[in-house]
Amino acid sequence: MPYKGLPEVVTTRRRSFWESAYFVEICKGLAVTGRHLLRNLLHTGEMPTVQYPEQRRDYGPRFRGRHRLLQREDGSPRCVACMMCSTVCPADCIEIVAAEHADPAIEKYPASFTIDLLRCVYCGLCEEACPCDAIRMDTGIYEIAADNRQAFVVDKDFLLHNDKDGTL
Amino acid sequence: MVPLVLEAFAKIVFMFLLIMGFVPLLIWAERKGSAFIQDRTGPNRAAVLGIRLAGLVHPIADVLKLVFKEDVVPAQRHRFLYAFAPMLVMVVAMSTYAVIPFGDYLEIGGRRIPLVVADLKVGMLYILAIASLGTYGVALGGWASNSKYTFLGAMRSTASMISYEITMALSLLGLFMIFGTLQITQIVAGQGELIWGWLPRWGIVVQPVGFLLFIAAVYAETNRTPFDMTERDSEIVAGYHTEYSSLKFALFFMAEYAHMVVAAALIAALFFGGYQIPWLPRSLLEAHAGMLLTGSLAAGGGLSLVVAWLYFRRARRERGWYNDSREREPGFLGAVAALVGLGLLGSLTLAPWSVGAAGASIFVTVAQTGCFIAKVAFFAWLFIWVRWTVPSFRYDQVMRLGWQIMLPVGLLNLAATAVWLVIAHR
Amino acid sequence: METFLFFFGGAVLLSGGIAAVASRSAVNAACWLVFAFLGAAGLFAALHAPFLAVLQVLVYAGAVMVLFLFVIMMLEGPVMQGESRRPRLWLPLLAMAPAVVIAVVASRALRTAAPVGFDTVLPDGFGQPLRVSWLLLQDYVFAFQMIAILLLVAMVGALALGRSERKRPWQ
Repeated sequence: MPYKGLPEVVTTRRRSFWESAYFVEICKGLAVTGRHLLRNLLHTGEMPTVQYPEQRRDYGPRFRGRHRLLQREDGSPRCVACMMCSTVCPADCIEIVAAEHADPAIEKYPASFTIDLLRCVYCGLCEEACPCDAIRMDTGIYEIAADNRQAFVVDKDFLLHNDKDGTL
Repeated sequence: MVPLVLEAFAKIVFMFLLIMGFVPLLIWAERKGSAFIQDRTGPNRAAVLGIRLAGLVHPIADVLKLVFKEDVVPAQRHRFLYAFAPMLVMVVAMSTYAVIPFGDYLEIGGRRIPLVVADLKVGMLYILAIASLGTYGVALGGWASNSKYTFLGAMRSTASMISYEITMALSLLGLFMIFGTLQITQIVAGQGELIWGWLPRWGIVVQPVGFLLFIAAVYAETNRTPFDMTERDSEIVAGYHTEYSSLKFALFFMAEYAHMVVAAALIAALFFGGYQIPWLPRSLLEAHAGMLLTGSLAAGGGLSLVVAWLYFRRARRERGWYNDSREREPGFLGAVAALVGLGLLGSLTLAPWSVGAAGASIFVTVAQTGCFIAKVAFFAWLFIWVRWTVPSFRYDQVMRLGWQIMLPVGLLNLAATAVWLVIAHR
Repeated sequence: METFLFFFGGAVLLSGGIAAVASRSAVNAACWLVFAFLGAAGLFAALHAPFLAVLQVLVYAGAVMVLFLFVIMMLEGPVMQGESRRPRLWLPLLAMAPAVVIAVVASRALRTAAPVGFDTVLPDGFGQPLRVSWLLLQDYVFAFQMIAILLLVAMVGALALGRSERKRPWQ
């Protein structure tokens, strides 16, 4: 080693004649791919591919899908408009307009609560920040599609009655 | 004169349909084969009334898409050459087939019809000449698009085609010397003989080195992996056809596969006996035509029935998977296979064991053409198989391989063949 | 048939040649030259020399002109100096001129019974690969080899001249 401290120079192994003649090596490679091909041809059903719209992969309970707002027994939102979620949101996608609640024990309620689903990064920080477990991402919905941008800005009513199919 | 024209026309139409039938099949094989090699499922969605044929409907969807797509053209293009290049590529790909025989001859009503469109005395040189014109399509198309990427692709393809054309010609010279002709029909006919009574005198047997050189050169000429530097996605987008869209792109795309079929047909015709069925010469086939026909009808019918049974079993197993029209597919295919099987078995009652001379000639033609098509299909599949196996060479590696290794080896092979011929004929 | 091929090939050859000389861009000129070579190949075919016709396409149109085109493209690059903007109308007209002349001549020639001298009896195997190779490698083998050596010398000379300034062996 002429220079101390420098990494050792990696030398590639010298190829033998048959290796550098390619043809034998190519035939070996063909055997490998051919094995895969035959196996998949004969056992089509065992392929790991999930036939998506018909079959679905099971996601864990912690999977973060589309948000929903939880309700009290009387159907009003559990949210107290404390702005914790919109403050912590890294994508700044939650917009809450607070209003005085009739019940002094509750203080505030969200007059409007909108989430821009296109900006949301599905990080789940809003769930964790919420002091009264009002927002959750446990719907398991991940197919979110619409044909205009405005449809992705969902409001309080939508979030309170979040149905399971993916249409907005 | 009129029957001659009709004959030629029929042969041209047959060849055209053969190629144009191969192209979507190859596109399908490329997708499905690559998927299976990589443990994927591949295309299986496009369907006509629920019939998907394992993705075979996808090429049809492709064609529809390409036909109705907007033709986006670069503003600063060379107007004529930009439109002319894809046509040239396609014309070159199609016209090469004229000299490749797909059968021996057909004897009907005292007329002997050679099963080749044009039996040129200089057949192989004709193919080399036409193939060398194919370079223009790629080079001019890349240049006329007036884009850096297409230009680089065109330069690369020109360089590799020039380099490997020489090797291609050299690798074939040994074959010409052994068979003593440039005529492809005669080369194929010469391969029907047996050496030492058991080994077919195929080109690969008499010219193994020539075969290896030829197959490598042909892969380079068709710009397929491992020599696909003309359209390497990670380096130059899509190479020479980056700026093409719609039907012009479709022509380039189809021409690539048509070139593959030419190359496969050439490999089959020159090195694997063409239409010759090994150990079954024409005389034997003609003598036992009735027996062989009966046997193949029975075998085909039985096989179709087995396939039908497999499909019906699958139809029962897959009931309730999709809940739409796709559920009908296995049942439909099973019914088709069952009908074919019953038809083949039913045709046994028409006494196929007593075919006349004309019937025997037709049977021989069908068998030999089928053998040729099977060989072509295998070598076309080999192109796909190699593409999804081997990583591609770097540009400098391609050039070094072509000029420093394959060219000298080709010359040595030529010299060795000459010496061997002189010694053997002494 | 031969008469038709002769006049057609001649028209293609002349038109291509004129267009090649007259066209402004080098790439266009090269393309026209290829066109002219194809006409020349047609003339060879009319002369019962299919081998020469194919060689004309293979060597000149397929190899030499591709190399030319390669070099021209390298030097010119993909940018066109707007020559496709202003098409010069007189160019195709000029290129058409020999075609018209030949068409007139051909129509006269085809009307007469014995048009041009195609009734010459050709020697056996004329223009076939065997005959041509016999001429090249037997009758004129010395001249053939001399040409090969001349080309080799030219190639070595080009390589020597083309090397970069510093590496010239005699300096």
